[in-house]
Amino acid sequence: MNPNYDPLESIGRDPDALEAFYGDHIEAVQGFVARRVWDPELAADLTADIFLAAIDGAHRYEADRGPVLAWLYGVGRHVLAVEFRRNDRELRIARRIEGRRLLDESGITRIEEQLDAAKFARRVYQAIGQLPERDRQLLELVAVDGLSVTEAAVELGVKSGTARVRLHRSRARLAALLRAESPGDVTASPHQLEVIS
Amino acid sequence: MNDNLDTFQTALLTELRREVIDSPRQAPQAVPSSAPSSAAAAPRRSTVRRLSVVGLASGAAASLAVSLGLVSFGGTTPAFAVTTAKDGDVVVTLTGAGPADAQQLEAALKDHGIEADVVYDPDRFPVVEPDAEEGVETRYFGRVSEGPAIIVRPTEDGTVVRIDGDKCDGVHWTMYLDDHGVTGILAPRPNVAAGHHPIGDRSKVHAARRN
Repeated sequence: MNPNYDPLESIGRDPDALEAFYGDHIEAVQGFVARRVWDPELAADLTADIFLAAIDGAHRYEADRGPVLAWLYGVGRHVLAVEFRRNDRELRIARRIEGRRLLDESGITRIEEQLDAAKFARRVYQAIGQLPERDRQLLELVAVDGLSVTEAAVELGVKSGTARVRLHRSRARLAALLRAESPGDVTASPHQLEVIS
Repeated sequence: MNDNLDTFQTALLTELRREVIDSPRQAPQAVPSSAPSSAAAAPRRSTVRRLSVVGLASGAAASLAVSLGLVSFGGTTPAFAVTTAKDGDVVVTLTGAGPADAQQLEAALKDHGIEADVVYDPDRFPVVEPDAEEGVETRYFGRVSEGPAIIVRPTEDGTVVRIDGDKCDGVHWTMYLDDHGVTGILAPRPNVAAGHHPIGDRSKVHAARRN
């Protein structure tokens, strides 16, 4: 871990530790969000929410359970799940920092570029939603966020061997779903095609 | 401040720094592993997850055959107890949980004939309603006509789960825990149309009951 924010819970007290943590992870968090939502303003809000949740929950991080990034993706999944469960009014009341208010024209353009680049990943993310719930988190971490099977297994608290078996089955289902949706579309990076095929 | 950041990233960092300066989070204090770590000065959580699961139908508490085994490990105060009720159901009572409790609970369930994965994951989104009123049940799989395989219901002191071992036979399911108790049961997707209980969704449970 970067010594500037070790222990991780220091990001909740030390603004310089927070800045180092933020610098290391802002691109990853924005990519994580871009693979899941289409709207630039919502993406900005969620990016702010994820960092706030990370600041609040940093004391829970346990280094022996996996890398910081995998933990941060776990925080992100939680934030998104809350987003999808609550209505707009509740969320506006709950939000401490509205990311969309921080956007200027260049910020919007930049996020739109990120959203555009993540088009295929969002298709994968959508298709994963059609799979049985037990397979979703694992595939999401591996096929959408690019974690290794071992990292994803640690993040989800399952044995690596179990994760590999589950992944093998669910990859085949996911690939079939994507082929059924648009058989001719191959606008994916080699890595993305590799993880789902 | 990092010069490589774009305007949005810079503005957000400024806001986050201000947040940490204005409302610094307290350092956590050490607590025994089996105690709920919520006691450890959890800094401002946006939602307070007070979960408990008690699948005890009313009056069923009296029927617990406690003599069949409260689980205790290594002389420490257990964060949970596993008992077998007179009707054969296995009942888990949790007052909190930590990473070590998940493994111990998994072993204890196995001792009672229940095969399940138990996973401690404080960051997992709680499927069991986090703010459910005490006494509200969440039911998990099993045919509606025959009753659910697993019932979860909040109580004042913690979480209780009631498990019908026969209905769980051959089903691979997972119980997720956080510091407060059970956050969800993950099991194969239910077939509501065929009369099965849905998973972790109280509104659907109620709809299924009406049907």
